[in-house]
Amino acid sequence: MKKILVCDDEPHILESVAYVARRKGYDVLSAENGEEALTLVRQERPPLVLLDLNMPIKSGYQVCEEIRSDPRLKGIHIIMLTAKGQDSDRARGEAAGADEYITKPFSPRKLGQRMTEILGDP
Amino acid sequence: MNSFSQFLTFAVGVALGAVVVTGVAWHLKRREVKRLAQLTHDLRTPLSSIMAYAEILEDGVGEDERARFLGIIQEEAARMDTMMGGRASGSRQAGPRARERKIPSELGTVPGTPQHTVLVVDDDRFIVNALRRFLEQKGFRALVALDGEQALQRAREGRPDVILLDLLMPVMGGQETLRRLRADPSTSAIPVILTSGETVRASAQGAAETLMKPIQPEVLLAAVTRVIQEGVPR
Repeated sequence: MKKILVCDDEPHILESVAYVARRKGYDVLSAENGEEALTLVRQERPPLVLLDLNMPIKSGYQVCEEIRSDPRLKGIHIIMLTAKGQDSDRARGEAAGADEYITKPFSPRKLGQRMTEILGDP
Repeated sequence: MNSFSQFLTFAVGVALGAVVVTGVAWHLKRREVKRLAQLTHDLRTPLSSIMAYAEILEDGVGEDERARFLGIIQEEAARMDTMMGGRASGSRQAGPRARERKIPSELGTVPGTPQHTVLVVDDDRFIVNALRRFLEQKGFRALVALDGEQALQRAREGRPDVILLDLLMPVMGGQETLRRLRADPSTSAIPVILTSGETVRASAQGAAETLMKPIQPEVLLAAVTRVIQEGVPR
C-alpha cells in the first residue's frame, strides 16, 4: 500500500485527514510535531506528505526545507495545510519547497480526490 | 500676546491634540484589527474540523463512528464559542456532587499565565492531545507522556503539580507507574488522578481521585484544581 504522512498537532484535523486517506485505501502515518514528521519521512519515505504549518518543535516550513535539502528524499510530494491564507504565507510555503498549499477549512472529499490524482491507486 | 498670537497658539494646540487622538485611535484600531485577524486565523482550525467531519458523515459511516464524529463536531463548536468569548453549554452535567465542586479562580484559569503544571499520561495520543489542549486553554502548563516510563521521566524532570494517569496502558500500566512514583522520593509527593473506563477506588490505588472516561471537561477542571489544593492523600 502506498503511504501518506499526515502532520498536524491538532488531533481532530489529523484524525479526519487520516480517516479519509485510509478509506481510500492508503497506509497512513501520523506525526504531531515537526521533529516526529522528519523522523517518519526519513524512515518511511512516503510519496505524499500533508504538512501543517504551525507545529511544535519544528514548523511545517522547517520540515519542508529539510525534506527538500535531503537528496535521499527526492520526489516526495508535499501539500501544506494551514489556516494561514495570506499571499505572503503562500509565497513562503513555495519558497520552502511545497508543491501545493491548501487553506483551512478544506474539504476532505476534495483532498481525497487530490490524493488519488497524486498517488494513483493504493 | 496679541489676539492673533493667542488664536495661533490655540489653533496649534487643537491641531496637536487632534494628531495625538488620531494616533491613539489608529493604534487601538490596529491592535483590534490584529486581534480580530488572529481570532479569524485561530477559528479556522476548529471550523475545518467541523466541516471535515460533516462531510465524512455525509459520505456515510458506521454507527459508532457517527456518534464519535458528532461528538467531535460538538466539541469543536464549543471551542469556537469559547474563542469568541462565549460559554459553551454543550457538556453534560456530572450530577449533584459536581455542583458542590467550586473552581478557585486563582488556579490556572487565566490564559497565558500558567501557574500550575499537569502531567497527562495516556497511551491514546488523541486523548493526550485533547486533554493537553483543554488544560492549556484553562491556563495550566501541560506535560504529556504516552507510557509509564515516559511518565516517570517527565515527573522527575518536570515536577508537575498533579498527574493525570491512565490506568490501562500496555507494558507498564497505571498501577505500576503509580507504585514507582510513590517509591521515588522526587515524585512521591505529587498527587495523582487516575483515569479509567471502569470504576476504580482511588484510595486503594494510592491516588487522590479517579475520573471515569469519557472525561467531562468541567469535572476534570474541578478535580485537578481540588487535588492541587489538597495534595497527596494520607
